[in-house]
Amino acid sequence: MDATSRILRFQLFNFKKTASVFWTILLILNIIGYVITKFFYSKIQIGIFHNGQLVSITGSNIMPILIFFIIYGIVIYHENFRLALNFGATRRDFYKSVLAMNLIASFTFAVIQAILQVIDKLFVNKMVVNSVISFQLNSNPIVNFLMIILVFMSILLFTASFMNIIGILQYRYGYKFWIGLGILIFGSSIFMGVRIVQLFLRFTDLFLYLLPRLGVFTIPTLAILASTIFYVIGYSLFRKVSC
Amino acid sequence: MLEIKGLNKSFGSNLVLKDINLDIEGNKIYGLLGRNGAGKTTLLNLISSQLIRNSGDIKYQGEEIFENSKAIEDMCLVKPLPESSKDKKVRDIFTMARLMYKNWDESYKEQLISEFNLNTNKRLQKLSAGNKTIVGLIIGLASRAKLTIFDEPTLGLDAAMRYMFYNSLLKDYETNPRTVIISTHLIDELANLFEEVIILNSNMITLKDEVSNLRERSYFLSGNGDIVNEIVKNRKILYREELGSTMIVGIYDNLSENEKREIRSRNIEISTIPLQKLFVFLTEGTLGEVM
Repeated sequence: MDATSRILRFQLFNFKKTASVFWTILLILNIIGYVITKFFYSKIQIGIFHNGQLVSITGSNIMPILIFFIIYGIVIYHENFRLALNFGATRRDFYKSVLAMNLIASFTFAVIQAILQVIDKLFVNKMVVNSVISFQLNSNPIVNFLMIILVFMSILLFTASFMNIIGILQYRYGYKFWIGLGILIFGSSIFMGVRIVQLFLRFTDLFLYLLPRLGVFTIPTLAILASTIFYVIGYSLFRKVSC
Repeated sequence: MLEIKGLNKSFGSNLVLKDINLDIEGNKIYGLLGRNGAGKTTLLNLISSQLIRNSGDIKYQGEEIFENSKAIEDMCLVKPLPESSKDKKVRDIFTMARLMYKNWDESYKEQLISEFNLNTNKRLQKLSAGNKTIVGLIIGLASRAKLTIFDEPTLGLDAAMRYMFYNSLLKDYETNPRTVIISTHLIDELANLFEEVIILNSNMITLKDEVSNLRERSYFLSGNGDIVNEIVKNRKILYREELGSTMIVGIYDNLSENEKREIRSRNIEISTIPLQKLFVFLTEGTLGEVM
């Protein structure tokens, strides 16, 4: 077994425990959500609503999942990197394993969430009359299911790639990074507020330009493109980091 | 096995290692000695690629070690585990080590756990300082890495545990030879383990020699001051103490059997300088003369 496979198994060992605990808690919360909806819908309403109508309970998992990726992006460097380097990993092998782990994590989380969305549709339809389920990306149910996975996965991968940079910077500079980030956000909002809005609008323009051309693939294409750029930037920041 | 050439490392304006040149041979036990702040830990971190050097080469079996998986996977640096792993259970830390080291010996790890009587169900932070050290020692021994480096391996260990570690290391070294570098302050305790000693002083390697050579070259001569002064004339003196007419002088030089006989015939006592004392003398500033 080569070094990259060994370190990937090391990462998986850490990830499996964390992810299992996370999903166990989330599933328990989802079940509680269904129970509350079933018996107390008129009094307590939990989930995602559209025009006052419950559309999904497991849809509200998206936010905790994103938070998981935000924290995981920092923990992977703060905890795993030091230990891996201590146990004889190279930075390059570690980075490769981070990439692989982010892909695995994005994929598994996307699949679990997509399955939950399908189950959710059945439950919510039974419990709440005339509910509307979004995420209808294709008329073919299998293609639709795969598209949901692809969209989820690309969004999660994008989050992971962005947090990868944050994780590296936090590892390199510690608390100084957060002070610097605070100053940057504060300063840029004062001095470059309009320009930031303009920049954001340009991204929106790009999205609107690509939407009719790429259709449902617009989000995955943009997310994968941005993720690639973030991972390249991440490696340039990471390759000479000390333990 | 390991070749270091022109290695320099500084942290900001603080120069820690200057022009380090060192050859480490295979299947030997080295003692890396140096006073506090001499740069021992930095050197070991550089060898294992955990720190980035400013300049110089470190080659393992002829290949540059930095970002070289083949070289790094043959190394195991035992140092205190990072703070970030304090919440992990000891058994999980061993599992992670097993996943990372290609020559990991699981049955040997189990044997060591029972010998050291370590509770692996506890979290790292719940262990005493000595037991935390033992976790690292077990990883180092069970890793069976071709180059195993112990940085201050006896921190927090009581005498019984220290000797248990020395015995385990020696026993394993006999059946599974490998290169071991031990950085320590407990020189006399480990002197019998070392085959070669490397002394790091004032940011530089000031001495690298076999322990047997050091013992053959370092002597205390004690007796009449005039006679001792005459004998040590033109020899490298490490230490000098006068008690009335008696003088004790520590020298670092070869003495032939004939010379020893002649010195003894003049009522001068000759004794070997213990390694710990020799280290103190060698790092007190007289080493420039010795080298």
